[in-house]
Amino acid sequence: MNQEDIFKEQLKSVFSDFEAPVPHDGWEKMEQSLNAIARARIIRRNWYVGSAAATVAILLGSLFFLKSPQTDKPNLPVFTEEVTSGNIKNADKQEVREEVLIAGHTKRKERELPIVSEVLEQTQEKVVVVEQTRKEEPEATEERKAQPEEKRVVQPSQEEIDRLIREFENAGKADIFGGLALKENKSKPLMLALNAKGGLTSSQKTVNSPMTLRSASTARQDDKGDDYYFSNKNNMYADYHNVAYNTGSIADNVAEMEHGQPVSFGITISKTISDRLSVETGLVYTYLFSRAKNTSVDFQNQETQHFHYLGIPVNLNYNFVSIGKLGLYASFGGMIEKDIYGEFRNSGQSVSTELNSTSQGSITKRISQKNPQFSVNAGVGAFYPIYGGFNLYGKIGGSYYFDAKNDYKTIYADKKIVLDLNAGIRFDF
Amino acid sequence: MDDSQLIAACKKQSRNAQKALYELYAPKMMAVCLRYCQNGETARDLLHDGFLQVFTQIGSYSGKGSFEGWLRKIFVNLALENYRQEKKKFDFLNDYGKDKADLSDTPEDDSLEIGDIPRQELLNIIHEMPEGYRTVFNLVVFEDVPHKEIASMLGITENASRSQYFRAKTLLQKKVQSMLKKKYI
Repeated sequence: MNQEDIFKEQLKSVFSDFEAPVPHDGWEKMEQSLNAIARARIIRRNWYVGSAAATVAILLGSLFFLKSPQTDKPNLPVFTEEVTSGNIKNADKQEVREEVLIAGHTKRKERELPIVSEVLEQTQEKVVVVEQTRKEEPEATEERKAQPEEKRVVQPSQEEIDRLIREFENAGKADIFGGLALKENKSKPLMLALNAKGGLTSSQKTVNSPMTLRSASTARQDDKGDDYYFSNKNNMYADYHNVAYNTGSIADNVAEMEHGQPVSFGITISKTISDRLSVETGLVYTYLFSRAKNTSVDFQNQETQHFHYLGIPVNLNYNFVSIGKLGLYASFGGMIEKDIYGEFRNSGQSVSTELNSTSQGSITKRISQKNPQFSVNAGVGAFYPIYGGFNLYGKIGGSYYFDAKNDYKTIYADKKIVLDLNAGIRFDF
Repeated sequence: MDDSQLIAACKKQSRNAQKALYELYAPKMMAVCLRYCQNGETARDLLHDGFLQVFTQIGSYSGKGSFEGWLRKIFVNLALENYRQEKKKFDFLNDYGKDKADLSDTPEDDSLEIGDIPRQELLNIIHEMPEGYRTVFNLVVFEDVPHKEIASMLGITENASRSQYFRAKTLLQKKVQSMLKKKYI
């Protein structure tokens, strides 16, 4: 062993069993950090899940919306109008009706539909041309080939025409709203809407028990870190910094809590999926405001809270009736929301009569909710075309907000069901 | 509960197991931190950050090799990371040049009885070393890391690492010699 190695070994042996005293609050700080990490993990996981769900929803929605619109099947009312005009001979109408009734059942028949459409828009002379075209089709039956002229010479009776008209009318209205008139569907496949929504009710309560906007867990964390302190199990945010907390004041306490009406703005896009149904999604911004105030003989404390949320709604709209140009619809669906910014402000004031002094303080800090907020909603609304593809629309409805187990109380958490009024402008294209 | 059970429980994020592990190893790791840091406050921060890393990365400990060695590696790496950050703030070469004039190029007597010096005194001498010296000295003496590896870890040349170590060692020997002289006079 050379001198260098001896030197190292000597030093190593001196420090081999060296143990230094650990800070007395080392583990407490460690535990706080571990808890914070655990919370951050939960938030991150929720974000991942929420983001993945939103991405899937957007992807599916995009695929759905971008899919080229289907060629509309001929609609019977239009055909009926043509029949009513009396320009088509009875035999021709009978032939066309058979085609229509079986059109939805076989592919071969669907290929013939354009012919039917063409028939509907043409005069009698043009129908003859179409019939001739049909005869040239390889799929035409021998029977049909053999008797084309016979079809054209049959004269319809007035009764037969009326019967056919009734049949066609009834065939187009075989649904639960059969008794209500629905005008011809003129809606375009896509609708883009800008809307604003306001809650119809706020939430206010006044009690003698102390109240706070924060959950017990959040309050206790702040208690350690931010000089907040609470009165035992009441979770009462009592005071701030040098404001003396007087247990005697609790009995005289008057607590008020108020959640303002939520206000939302959004942009949505809808896709028509049938004559009456459309599916809608988009992006909605919501602002929430809450306030809690505890007042006693010798102290006054006020908390205010602002939250800005972004949400993705998915709704199904059903147009159930039209009265003139006015259309009425029902809507139901759900929404996922997550706060993007939150601010909590607390200010307190204490009066000490014995010392003849007043002390006050305030603190403002950024806050965030742990979990995304899920809700379901339903409502009825009306739309009215104003110019070109533009429609005004409004909807009244309500939403139910599921318990998100978040740290800060909002109207969603305290009221659960919030009635709202939605209005906006829609562009069909 | 032995080490393996403790580690298994820590992998399941058991708070009690984490506390037990902390209480078992924190004093030893604090000693490591103290050797690498200039003052107790930085060492305490390092200890906290190190254990936080231990508890979040304990799942990656395969069970092969000494657990204490694995822990120690985490703390040393963290100390090096800390050093690299400090180095960005304060030019490494400055503290190299600062003591250069004070030290002769002649090595001191390697046969000094270092064991005669109280551990705290030795620790104080290590603390007084410029940060670069102290880091290289610790890596060479206590972790047995070759100069080539130190050079790549710290982003310096191999010769700079040797030079740092030589000067750190000389500094320590000088101070030890002076202490011994005082002791025997």
